[in-house]
Amino acid sequence: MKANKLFIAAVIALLAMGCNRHSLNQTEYVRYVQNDKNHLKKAVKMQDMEFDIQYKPYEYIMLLESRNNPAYDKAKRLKQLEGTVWFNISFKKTNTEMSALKEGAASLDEYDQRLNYFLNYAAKDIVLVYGGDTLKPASYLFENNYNIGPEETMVVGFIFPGKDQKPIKDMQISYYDRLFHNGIIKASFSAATIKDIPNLLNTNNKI
Amino acid sequence: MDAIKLFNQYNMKKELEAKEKLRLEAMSKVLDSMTNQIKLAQASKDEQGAKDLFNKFNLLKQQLRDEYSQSNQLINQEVWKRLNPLIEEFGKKKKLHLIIGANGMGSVLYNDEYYDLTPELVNYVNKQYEGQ
Repeated sequence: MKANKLFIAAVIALLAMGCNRHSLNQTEYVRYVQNDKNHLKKAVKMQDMEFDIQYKPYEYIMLLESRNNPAYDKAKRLKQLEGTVWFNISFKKTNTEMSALKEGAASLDEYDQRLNYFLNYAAKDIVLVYGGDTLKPASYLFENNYNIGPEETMVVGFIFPGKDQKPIKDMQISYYDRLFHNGIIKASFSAATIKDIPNLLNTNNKI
Repeated sequence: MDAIKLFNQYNMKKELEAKEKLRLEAMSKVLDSMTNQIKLAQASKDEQGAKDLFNKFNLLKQQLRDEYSQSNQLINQEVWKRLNPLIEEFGKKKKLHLIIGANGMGSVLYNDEYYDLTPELVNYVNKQYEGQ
């Protein structure tokens, strides 16, 4: 009888520890998502360029958007994001601090052509394989950093086919880099990895 | 390792080729249709029309050859751009001091399978490519 009680207590303690590990505060949550060891951010490295693909859970998007915005309606935003999936595809040259758009551009025209590609055409070179479906972007935005830093970012969103409200299948995003001729850049995110994302503890505190 | 085998079995190379094949095949279909038009012009004794079409046909044929050659060159460049750092990474992970790339040009005249890391390397580069 005593042994049984001890066993039950041990199981409860283990479960409690497990729950703690899977619930993070806002700062920890953002760090967790951005830490490549957690497989939500993947890096693809070439000789002189690097691409980072960041999967963005809804809570992560909400936390970043709500920073310094007291009027932000978190619950409404989370509801809006249902049925979609979002990624950041960032890229930079590794041999310079200059933006990849500017580096090696022989003229202003060439810079403009590069910028035009990212503003208007790059979305056509991005697809997401979700389970057995191949999805085209439903939303695309190029975050032009105006050469302030080396990293440029494409923000891309997809709408799930069917009634999936959040990602529950394996996903693979791919981008065909026609501009810098790096071939096809892919990043896979397993359903298990997504399922293992910790819960967000309290959405009222500032990060 | 067998450089040719590695190149040919790299998934990105296969996918890039498949994309290019579609584009080049579309161009090739235009050529086929022009051949038929030339035959029709010849059958209807329209010599000038046939001559004009033939000139256009030759121009397009040359363009297709150039496109094919450029496309091969680009795929080659893109694939090795990706493979080189991966081979280096693989070597470091396996603590190898040297990786010899046999390319059928006579640099490696014989090796048995004991030292052949090609299958393992193909598996490694493809796993990395698929973003896992």
